[in-house]
Amino acid sequence: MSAAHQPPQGLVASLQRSLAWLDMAMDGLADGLVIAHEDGRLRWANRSFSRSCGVESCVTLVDRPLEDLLGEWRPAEAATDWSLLPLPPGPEGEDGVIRLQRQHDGDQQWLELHWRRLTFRDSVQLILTLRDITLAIRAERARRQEEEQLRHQLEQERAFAQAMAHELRTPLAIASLELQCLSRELQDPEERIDAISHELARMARLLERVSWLNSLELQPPQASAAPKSMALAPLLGRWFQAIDPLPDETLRVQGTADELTQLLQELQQNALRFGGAEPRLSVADDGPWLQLLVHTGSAGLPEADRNRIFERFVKLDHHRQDGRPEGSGLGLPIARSLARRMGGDLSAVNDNTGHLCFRLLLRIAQPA
Amino acid sequence: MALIARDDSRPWLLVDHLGEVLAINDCFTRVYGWRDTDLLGQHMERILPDSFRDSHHAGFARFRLDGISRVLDHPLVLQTICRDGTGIRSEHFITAERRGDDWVFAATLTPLEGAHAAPASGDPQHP
Repeated sequence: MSAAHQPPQGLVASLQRSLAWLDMAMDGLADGLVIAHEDGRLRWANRSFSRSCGVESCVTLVDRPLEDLLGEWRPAEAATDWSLLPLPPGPEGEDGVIRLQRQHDGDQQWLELHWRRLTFRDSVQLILTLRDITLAIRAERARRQEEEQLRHQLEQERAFAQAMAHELRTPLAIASLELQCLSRELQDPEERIDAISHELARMARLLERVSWLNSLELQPPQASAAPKSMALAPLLGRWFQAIDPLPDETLRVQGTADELTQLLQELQQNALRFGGAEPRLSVADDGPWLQLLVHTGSAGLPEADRNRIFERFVKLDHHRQDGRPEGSGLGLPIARSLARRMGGDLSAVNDNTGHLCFRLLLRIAQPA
Repeated sequence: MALIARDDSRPWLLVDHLGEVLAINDCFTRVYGWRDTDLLGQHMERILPDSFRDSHHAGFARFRLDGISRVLDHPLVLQTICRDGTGIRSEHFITAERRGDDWVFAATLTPLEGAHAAPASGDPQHP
């Protein structure tokens, strides 16, 4: 270039200063900013993008395909194939957004890539901004999960109120009918009064058990420095006659004597209600757990029913029909709450002979 | 920088604060084909591939404004354009030195591929 065509030094210096300020401003952005050729090769990038590629300056990234630089980032929507670069021919100013994701150190991360096509000096360039939206997506997911939990809780409360109303309607109807009969006929007043008293007592017991179950589920176990424990063998003998094998006298499990007594009572009564005969108990040591299988002798149940019997007020139809005493539908939910409160769990399984068992896991207490 | 200027075992060039080439050594001519008459007083972008010019200008301007550079004093592998228009991947080691109110830059280059023989005469094929 001859001296006559040289731009004035002052103008060059001024343009350089403007370019430097612009570069500095771009480096101040938290978002990644990239200018790429139409075929997807990088032309310039700000510091945020360069750093995300593990380098301080974009100069060593120049001419590398953006797809390579984005490494393990892939489109988040399965339906979107990785066809961003090179972009198919399109109108000037066309833009779009693609959400990218990757697994990094066991965590999922997301980027939002916004692209715009611009023509500069007859060549098409792509301006891309990349924003880390991981925190925003996590917050959104947490909010949705919270909403789902609240909705589930509300549904449970509605179902509970409906079931409670249904359960109270029967004894109330019976008591009401008996009162009508009593006032109309005044025949066998004692028999009628006994029936009314029985139904009122049933209502009172139902309310008492609902209240107990609520308190078990709502109140956390008493915090204490060391978990409480008790000897298991003496309590088992109070509720079960056939135990195989009887645990060692020194074996202790986590929980309180009250909790375990109530739990074993509920299990024994429910097993009796299911099977109609004295249940048999088998005991097995399983690492930190002690497994107690309560064999009801009743025919096994499909998995859906084995889960349902731990819901409040669920009574399986066949138990209503075969003349066995009907329970409140609260015994097994109470027993499971007690087991979990003690650090264990309760479920229903079919044993290898196809009969229904309650499987109680209790945590073995470590010797002091 | 004075040490570099005496070294002819590797190619080097000196550039002023505006990016104009002040000097090259014989080794630079032997490897890349450029002669004094091709480069002295010209902007150093002649030896850069087109695609590197934007990032080069931005980094150069930025250094003049805030004195901070992310390419100085450590090796950078970049393409260097030869006089015949072909490119050679080379490791660039760039240093800067104050001269009065401004800067002078020295780049020592190590070609990572086969070098070109210096042409005896003729115009450069690359603008």
